[in-house]
Amino acid sequence: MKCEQAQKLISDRLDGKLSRWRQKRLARHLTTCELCRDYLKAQEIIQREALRTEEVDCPPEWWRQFEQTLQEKLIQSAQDEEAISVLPAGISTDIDIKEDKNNNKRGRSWTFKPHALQAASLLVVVAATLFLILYIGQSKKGELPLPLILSYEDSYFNLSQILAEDEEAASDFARSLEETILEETFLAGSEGTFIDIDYDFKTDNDTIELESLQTESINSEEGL
Amino acid sequence: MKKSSVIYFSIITIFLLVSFSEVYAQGHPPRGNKNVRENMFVLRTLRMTQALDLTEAQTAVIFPELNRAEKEKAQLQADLAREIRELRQLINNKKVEDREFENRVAKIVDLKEKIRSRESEFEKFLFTQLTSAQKARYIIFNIDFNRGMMERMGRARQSGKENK
Repeated sequence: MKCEQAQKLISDRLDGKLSRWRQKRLARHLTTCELCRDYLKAQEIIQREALRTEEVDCPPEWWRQFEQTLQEKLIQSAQDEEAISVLPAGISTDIDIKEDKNNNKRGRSWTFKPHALQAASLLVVVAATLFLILYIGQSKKGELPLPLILSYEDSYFNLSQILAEDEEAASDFARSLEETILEETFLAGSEGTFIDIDYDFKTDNDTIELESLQTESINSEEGL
Repeated sequence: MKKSSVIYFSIITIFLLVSFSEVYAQGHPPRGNKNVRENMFVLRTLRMTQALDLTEAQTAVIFPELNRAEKEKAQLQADLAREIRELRQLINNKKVEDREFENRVAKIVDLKEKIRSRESEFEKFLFTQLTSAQKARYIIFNIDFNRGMMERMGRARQSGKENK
């Protein structure tokens, strides 16, 4: 058992809340730990002194004043610690969830011990690392890497494999490309200089009748 | 001579050279995927010139290299298509040994790597000739063009099915 746990059990024992099994565990620890034995003695003295003290009947106004002063000191203490503690290992963070002071409601403060914070940080780092490993692994499997998305040759390869199984579609596709080339060349020619060239190329089936081609506007978004 | 006329004249010359060299070499008109490859190249060159707004000086430097790369890649793609066709046949044959498969697979991997490497080599060269804005346009142009081609192919196949 760690001293910290033992000291918590000591506190419970003084309050009379310790089970038999825990009492045995504490007793075993106390036989070997001088530090905890001293702690126990000190706690017993405090308890004895506290029990001897007579109850003081303070007015409610005094208690309000007392709580306010206590809160201010706690806040001041937290601010000081915040300013001092730079390294995560030494951080002792006070999370003050006090309510409106002007309403004189009670404020509470939790203190995370450094080792708990370290453990939490470690857990977060481990979780983040695992997430990254899994995420990167998945994206490698599921998504195409950028060069493959951009690759004209890969795109052509896929296309040619599909068209290899359908000769008619391949022929139609090739003809549609020829038609587009003609259209766009003529469109470009009408905007600038007329291209004076014998442009009578044959397709698989017949010669394209240039007059029959409908010049459509280029769909730039489609890329075709 | 005006810039646009030089560019379009160059594109058409490339197209005609590629087309007729195939025709005379093989003694029959190009068919199927060969036509597809050539026409895609011409259309892509035309579109690229427009999309990147290439200057006369740029086309003078880029086009010869583009043409060289295209010839090499077209040959590699043809080899790859042949290998894959043969692999399909082999898969159906139960008597083929593992070593034969290994050889075929190694060839295919090698061809794919060569194509990718040649493409990358050309793009590296191209990027040395382009401005930053042109490089950015090229990226988008390439995606749009590839997607457009796939869509066009889908339409061609669809119309073929409807005609049957």
